Amino acid sequence: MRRVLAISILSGASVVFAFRFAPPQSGAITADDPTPYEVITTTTRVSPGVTATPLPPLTTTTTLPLPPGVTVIEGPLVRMNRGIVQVTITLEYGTLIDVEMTRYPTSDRRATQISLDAEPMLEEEALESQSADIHIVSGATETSHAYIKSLREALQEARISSDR
Amino acid sequence: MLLTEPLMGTVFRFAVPDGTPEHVVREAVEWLRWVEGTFSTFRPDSAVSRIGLGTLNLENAPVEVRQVLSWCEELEEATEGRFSIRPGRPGGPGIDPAGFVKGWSVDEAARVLQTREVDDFSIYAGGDVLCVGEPPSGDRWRVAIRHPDRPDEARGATLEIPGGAVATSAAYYRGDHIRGTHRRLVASVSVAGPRLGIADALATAIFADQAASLDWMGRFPEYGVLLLGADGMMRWTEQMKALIAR
Repeated sequence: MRRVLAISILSGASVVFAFRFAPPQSGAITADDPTPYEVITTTTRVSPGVTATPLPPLTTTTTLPLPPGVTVIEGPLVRMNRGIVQVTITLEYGTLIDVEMTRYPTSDRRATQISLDAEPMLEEEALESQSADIHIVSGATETSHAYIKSLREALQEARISSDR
Repeated sequence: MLLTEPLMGTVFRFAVPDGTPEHVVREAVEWLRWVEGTFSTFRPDSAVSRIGLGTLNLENAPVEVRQVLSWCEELEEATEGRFSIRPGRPGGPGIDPAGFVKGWSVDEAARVLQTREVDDFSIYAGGDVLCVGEPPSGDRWRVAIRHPDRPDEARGATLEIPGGAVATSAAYYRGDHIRGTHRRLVASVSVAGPRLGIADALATAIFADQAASLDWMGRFPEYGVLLLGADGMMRWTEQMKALIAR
């Protein structure tokens, strides 16, 4: 599995960088979803170690130092009303081992500071569930429909059966 | 060993000891799928949707549905209406027990694993977590709480729990709600305690009125509350104090 495929999941859509904001290339609204969203870019499959077969001129190759058997798949960027969402999944020999939100809506303003006597929150510590001193992370960021949409696309790329 | 599964509009992740037979986890996932199909308000043919729409009598509903709805009534009373299954989301069937069901179904999924002699594991359900038995390292489970400003990058706090549930209710996308009169002071509410169903419902209830009053939490002596404020400060109840690692 040494190759990079850049696959256009929407017919007629051109390939766009996964990490670049771009105007919508094409839209796909799914009617049964309560929150409107659009798929605005395509899915890029990145396998480790990577020799490129002919790639569209706009596509960059990401070389990731991945162990053998590990595949990282970036889901499409999905636009929702609060911003753009993207998930990236990691597989090890075809088994899903991680799901990560690699792009999420950014806040546009900071709340007004208020002054109350309490302890400051942690600011500096990284959130890494894999790190030695953390077993699990609480706090819902993975509940948006855009997230699920991006995840499903990535899973389809991986040909893993996803939620019905 | 990690097993990830999209369920109930979010992501579930089972962390079980290496060597656990995958079919055991699959059994728990099948239970969760059944719960989703039975309780989803996004599926017009689910038992809950049909009850809400009046096409299914409560007495003809599965026993789990009747149990859950009755627990939800109790929770509504105990939280003085802060937690409520009515009216549910716009366009829904008029009732929505989702704020309790997800956590409750995880509590039950944990029983499935335990009866199959999986003793030490954690289940992540869209930001809510349940830890059972011994942690993979150390004496206590270390649970990070996402930072409300940078939920995918930084921790706002870290808890150390002997086991049990942590549920977090939050609005991480601030652009939506800081304008206008309803300025949010509480960015996220985490509740820790023995059962995830209860913790989930309590976090939802506290967040709904922005922790305006917590007196009623006296009815839940086993559950602690941690608030991460929009002002960058964290606050907690007495029951939570011993669990805060920093």
